Amino acid sequence: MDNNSEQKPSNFGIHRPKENPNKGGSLSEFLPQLENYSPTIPDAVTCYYMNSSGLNCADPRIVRLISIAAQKFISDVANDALQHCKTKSSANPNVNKNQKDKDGKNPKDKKFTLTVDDLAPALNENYGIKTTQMKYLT
Amino acid sequence: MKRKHWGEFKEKQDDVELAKKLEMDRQIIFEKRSELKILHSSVYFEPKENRIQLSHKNPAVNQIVGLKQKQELIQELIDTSQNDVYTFQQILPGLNSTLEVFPTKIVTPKVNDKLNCFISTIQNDFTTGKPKNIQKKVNKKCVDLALRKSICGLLRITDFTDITESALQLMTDSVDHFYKSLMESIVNVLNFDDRDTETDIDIMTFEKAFFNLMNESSTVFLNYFKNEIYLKNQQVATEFTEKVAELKKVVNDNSHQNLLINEIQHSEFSTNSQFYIKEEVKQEYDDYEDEA
Repeated sequence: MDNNSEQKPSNFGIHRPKENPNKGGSLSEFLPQLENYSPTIPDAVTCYYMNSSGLNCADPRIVRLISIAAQKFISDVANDALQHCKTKSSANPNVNKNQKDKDGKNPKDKKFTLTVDDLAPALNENYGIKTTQMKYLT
Repeated sequence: MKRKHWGEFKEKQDDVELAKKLEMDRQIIFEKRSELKILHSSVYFEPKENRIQLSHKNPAVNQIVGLKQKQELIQELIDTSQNDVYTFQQILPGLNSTLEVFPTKIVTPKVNDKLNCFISTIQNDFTTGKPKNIQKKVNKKCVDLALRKSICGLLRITDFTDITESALQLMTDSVDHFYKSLMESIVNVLNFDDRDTETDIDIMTFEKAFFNLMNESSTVFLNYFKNEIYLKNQQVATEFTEKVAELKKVVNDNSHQNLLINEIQHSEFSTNSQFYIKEEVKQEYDDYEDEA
């Protein structure tokens, strides 16, 4: 009996576990505040893709959400590519010639150039976008 | 008098010159034609009335990009002060006036630290989701150009300074692929819910579609804006103010040194005027005196 009393009553999956507060606010609360979070991608661009897929872009909140999703995608890919670039340059200091380490400057002032070599693995690993070089006809 | 007959054969030398001239003309025409083709193919050939201006209106991103560009310029000035003193002394008078323009504190867009449920939203057309017609209809070329600009701005935030043309093209294509995949996912969700004929999207449809595609909820957008845009903006603003303070210090030090040098030179000039006369000039002056 003691064991049974200690057991919590089964809720048949009705009550969900509490969400991690660091993970983000609820979407219904976030939606009205989207007005303050304007994305860099213009709404007209998102509308173009929605219209080309036969979807209506009348609701400005949905348009904005999709724009933000695309912006987040770009930022995530860029962050991954930066990690690749940093790893590569630390492994081989001669790869990125723009770096100013030789001059003895602050590492914060390093210059990074995004190339296909850094971008392709970032796209391939996390998003499944594979890039292959053109096969030349000989 | 030399007769000229109609239809007579010209001399060989003339033919060669004419052929050369014709060849050159042909080359020029070919170059002009190719230039015109490029102009026709570009969007910029559109007349002003037909051009569409799209605004990339995130103030935080725009501010970060602007501040980083200025910060680079300031860093270059500081480096010049250390490496090339002579050049720095020459631009010093102009710098004194420009430094006054820089603000001591930079205002950044505020982040809401409170929980969302405590913030009362103002009822307006946006919050109620009132349908809005977007007047600007763009074509694929415009879309690509807008995406390229947005990508460059966002790359600047993530500490990239340059991008190769091929990488930019790949990035644009991948964003295009992302958009198309998301749209496909939305259409799939609508089909799955037996709403095939509907074209309006609600928030739950988007959430389902986004989760299917990216395997994460769209609630992460809030944290993305807070951590990656606004906090970054604050960091860049503080870095910028530090750099400006550093440059001001360098300018002050150099102008102080300048004053000291001027004082020394002035005193020496007043006591011994011949000190500044170069040897050659002095020789010429002596010769002139001898002649006189």
